[in-house]
Formats: sequence, structure tokens, C-alpha cells
Amino acid sequence: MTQQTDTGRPLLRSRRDVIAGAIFLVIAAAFAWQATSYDMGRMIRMGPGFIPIVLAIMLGALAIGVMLVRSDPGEHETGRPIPWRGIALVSFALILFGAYGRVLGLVPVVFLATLVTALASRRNSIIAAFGIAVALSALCYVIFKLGLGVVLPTIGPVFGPFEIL
Amino acid sequence: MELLSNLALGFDTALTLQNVLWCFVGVLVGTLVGVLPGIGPTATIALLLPITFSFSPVTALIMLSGIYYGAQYGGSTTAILINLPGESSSAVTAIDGYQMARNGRAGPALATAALGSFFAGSVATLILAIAAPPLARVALNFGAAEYFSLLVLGLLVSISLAHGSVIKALAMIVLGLLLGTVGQDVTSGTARFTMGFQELYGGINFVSLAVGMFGVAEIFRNLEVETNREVGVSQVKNLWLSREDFRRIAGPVLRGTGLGSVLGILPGGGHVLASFASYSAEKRLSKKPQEFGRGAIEGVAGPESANNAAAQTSFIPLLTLGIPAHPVMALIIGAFILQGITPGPNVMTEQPALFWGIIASMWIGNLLLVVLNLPLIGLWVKMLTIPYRVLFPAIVIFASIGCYSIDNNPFDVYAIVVFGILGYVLIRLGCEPAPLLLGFVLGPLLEENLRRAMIISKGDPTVFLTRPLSASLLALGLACIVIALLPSIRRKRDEVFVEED
Repeated sequence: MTQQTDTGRPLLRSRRDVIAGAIFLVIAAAFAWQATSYDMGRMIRMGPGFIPIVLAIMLGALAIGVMLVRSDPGEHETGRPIPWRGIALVSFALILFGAYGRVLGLVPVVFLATLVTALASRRNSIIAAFGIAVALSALCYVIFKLGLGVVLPTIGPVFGPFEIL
Repeated sequence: MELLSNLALGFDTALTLQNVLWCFVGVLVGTLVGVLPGIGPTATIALLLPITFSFSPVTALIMLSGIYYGAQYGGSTTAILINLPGESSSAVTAIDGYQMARNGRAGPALATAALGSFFAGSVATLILAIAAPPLARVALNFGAAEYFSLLVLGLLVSISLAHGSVIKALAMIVLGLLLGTVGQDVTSGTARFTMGFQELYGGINFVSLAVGMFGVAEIFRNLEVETNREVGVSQVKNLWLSREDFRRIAGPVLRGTGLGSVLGILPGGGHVLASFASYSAEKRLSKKPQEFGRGAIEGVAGPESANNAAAQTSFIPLLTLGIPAHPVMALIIGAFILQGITPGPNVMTEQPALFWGIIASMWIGNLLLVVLNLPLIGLWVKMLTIPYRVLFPAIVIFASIGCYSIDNNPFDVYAIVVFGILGYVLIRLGCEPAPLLLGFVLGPLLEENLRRAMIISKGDPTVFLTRPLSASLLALGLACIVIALLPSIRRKRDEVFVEED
């Protein structure tokens, strides 16, 4: 980028703009490539591909704009660390819930997912995480099973004779 | 006296035991999420949408609206007591409210916020009741071309009011529009961008997108730097205002209500702008501007009234045109659609009980909020002592259960992960998620009206410029962009959004 760099920070900012632009550009290209396989139609009767193509081209143009135009100073806060552990654990807990909710049942899956999620915060010890998981399992049972009657079984079929619907 | 009979119908609907009960639940949950920093009404409403499926439409919408304006009340409590805005719109309240609390005047500050909000909420609801019908009648004459232009205007206005880079906001809108095209095309039945996933035929799940972008991405943000929040005031005493206090807040409350009612109609977060505008107006009008920032009661009364008035009038574009003013309203549109109702000018004529029931419930809700907030303040102070490390697992779990139970489909839960990470990356790069959500919700409407307008005009794209109403709407949208890009306005806008003092 060709910006004035009187301190180190403007450089960092411009790099962020380039990354943001690149993400938009990749998404635009993916949509455009896929949209070419749909019928374009004509102006009077637009096909399903017409609007996605137009939007993808607009996004591509804006992506280049994002890369080139200098964004406001002060828009980004400087280097807060990326919480890799938190992102990984929370994502894992969500996938766990989606994949095993039905077989495990509401209470066990809430317990497990909460345990994993709680450990995303460095301030939670293992024991604290257990405590939160127990409390939240009980709370969710009362709210979602007794109160709202969700379809998930209380204890899932994987527990065999202990299954509770 | 058509208004009176309509309101009678509304109260008839809203005052059934079931509706009052769910209105109460709505404002209670709203206050709760407003009080707790880190959870906003956007994520909460997204989470509770699936639960409202089993309700009748009017009950569902009364509750969801209650969450929204309830959160505006709750946000001020947190702002005053711990100097952390529970909601973005109460950021200004924190400036003087927290100083009042430190001076031992937490009680009067909370009372001012509650009473100002109650007054503003009631007046703005009346404005909504008066202004909505004529606007809806105008909108009934809109053709496809006008609708298209109106939607474009709505999207463009949202940029000029959001902060941050204009070009990034534009890109986010277009990205939202693109995500909105995923799924089966209504006219031809072609499956678009489904990548072979059967689950995507009905489009990307709106709840997963909203929960991911606003709930989970926010959790990732908060995990970056974990801080302890401290409750500066553990006990609130003396909630009564003195005669002198009443004299001082009367003007700010009235002006705040007026400003908020007008700015609330604007798309794109008018309630945040309203509270900032009211604060700077009061500071300028005050005989003792040096008191601002050191605990001036006017600095609490004005902005609090303004943001509550705006919360109420932001329902105007939704109920009359079917256009959401901000992400929360976009979710409420989602709720309408899930209930099988297309929001727009027709709602008022076809479902008068629903339309007026929602409006009437707002008075009931505002009254319930005063009762909830003043005598029960001790309870809310207690809530603030719950640490975030306990809170966020609950948010993640509620999000999972909520999304899962829409269709009992694991795919919707996986989608939260995708949008949570995408949202987090984009927010870190300085792109706000709100325009994306607006684009996503309005995208299908935009496409439908564009295609219809093209068929009607026999493929002539100039139709948007030759029809006067459509052309002026587009011109207005263009003006918004130009204004947002002007350097002097940009500086002003930045100033407005930077906390003073």
C-alpha cells in the first residue's frame, strides 16, 4: 500500500484492509463461478443466475475498493490476541451438540457441550467447568424439557435401558 | 375517532391473560439481557424465535418486541452501575450516570432513566399509532419499482448511520444479498449455491446466521481479553427524585423524546444516534455545560428518553413498509415470515388485531418495565455479579438448543459455527455485521421486486428513474452515500461516535 507510515500502525491497518478485501474477492469469485451455470435469462424475464452474477460482480468491485481505499484511522483496535483456544473449544462444543444431540439426549449433551465450552475461558478451572455443566444441565432440563417440551429425549437411546424420553 | 376504536381493538387483543403474561416474559428477558453485558437483544431474539413457533402470531410478536424495548431499559442499569453499556445505545448514559452513582446518587440516576424511558416510550408509541396508518396507505400504492427503490434506500441509509468504513459496509450489504440468494429460486425452482446440501434448499437458516454473527462472534470477541467487571455500587438507596431533580429533567426528557422519535424512524441504528444527539444537544443547551461528564442528571434523562423513543418508533418502517430499521427489526420480520405473514402495509388492513395488538402491548410493556425496574433494582444489581465465564457457556448452549429445535436438524447448529467464525474474522477486519444481516433479510424481497418490475416494464431498466416516486427514493439513497463520504461529515460522525470527555 502506498500510505504514509509515520508510525508502525497504519501499515498494520492497510494489511487488514487487504485481507478484508481478499476475503470479499474470494467469496465473490466463488459465487460468480457457480452462478455461471444457472440460466441468465434476459432483462424482461430474468433467470435465476442474473441477480447472483450482478451481485458477485458488485462484490468483486467493492472488494478491490476495500483493498485500495484507506480506512479510517482508529477504526481497528490494535493487536488484541486471537482466542484460538476459545474459538476451537466453542466450535467443537457446537459440533458435538449437532452431531450427538439426538443419540445422547438433552441432559448428557448439554453437560458435555457446557463442559467443553466453559473451558474456553482461561478463568474456568476444571472443577468450575464441572459445576457450570451440572447447573446448566439442570436448568436446560427445566426450561426446555419441562417448560417447552423440546423433541430431544432427556436421556438418549445410546444409554440403552436408561433412556428417558 | 378511528384511532380510538383501533386502539380499543388493540387493547382487547393485548389484555388477554396469555398476551399480558408473554409480554411480561418478553420485557423480563429483555431487561435481563440488557443488564448483562455481552448478550444483546439481537442474539436473544434470534435464540427465542424457534420457541415462539408454537405461539399465535400476535403473542409471539408481542413477546419479541418486549425483549427489544426491555433491553433498552436494562442497558441503562448496567451503564449507570458499572460504567459498561449493556447496550450500545446506553453508552452515553454511562458517561454521566456512572458519575452520579459514584457521587452516591445511583438511585436518582436509575429513577431518572426509568421514568424518562417510560414517558418517552409511551409518547413514541402514540406517535407510532398515529403515523403508521397514513404511511401504510401511501405504501399500498407502491408498485414493484417503488418497492425496489425503497429497499435500496433502506440499505443505503443503514450505511450512513453505521460507523466505520463506508465501502466495507457496502461490501457487507452485497455479501448479505448474495447469501440471501442461496436456496431454491422461487420463479424457476433452480437450486442455487446449495453445494449438494439438501438442507440449503430452503435457504440459509436465518436464525443460525444471526446467532453466529451476533452471538457467537461476540463471545469470541469477549474471549480475546477477559476482564473482571466490578460493580461499583452494591446497594441502591433512595430511588426518589427531589422536586429540583424533576425540574431539571423535564426539558431533557421532552427534547429527548422528540429527537428519539424522529431519529428512530431512520434505518440503521437510529436509537444509538438518538442518544448521542440528545446528549450533545443537552450539553449545548445547558447553562452549566461543565457539569456534563461529572454527574449531570440531564445527561442521563435526555439520552435515555431518546433511545427509548427511538426503540418504539423504529417499528414504524417495519409495520408500514415491511422494511427493518436495524438487525433486531430484521429478526422481527423473520418472525412475521415464520408465522406466515408478509410484513408490510397489508398487515394493518388484513390483520388489524395483530397490528393494533402489538402497539397496545407496548404501553402495557412499558408500564411493566417501570414496575420491574424500580422496585426490583436490587435483583438486577445481583445479576451483575454473575461473571462472564459462567454466562457465555449458557449462551452457547441456548443457541444450540434453539437452532436445533427449529427443524431438529444438526445442519443448523453447524451453520452457527461457520457464521460465528466468518463473523468474527470480518469484525476483526473492521466490517460490521449489521449491514450483512439487513442485506440477507431484504435480499429475496429485493430480487422479487426487481424481477417483477422488469416484467411489468417489458425489460426497460430505466423504469426506476422515470417513475417519479421511485426516482426520488433512489436519489435520496444516493444522497445518503455522498453525505456519508463527505470528509467533513465523516469527521463529525466520528466525533459523535467517540465518547466525549
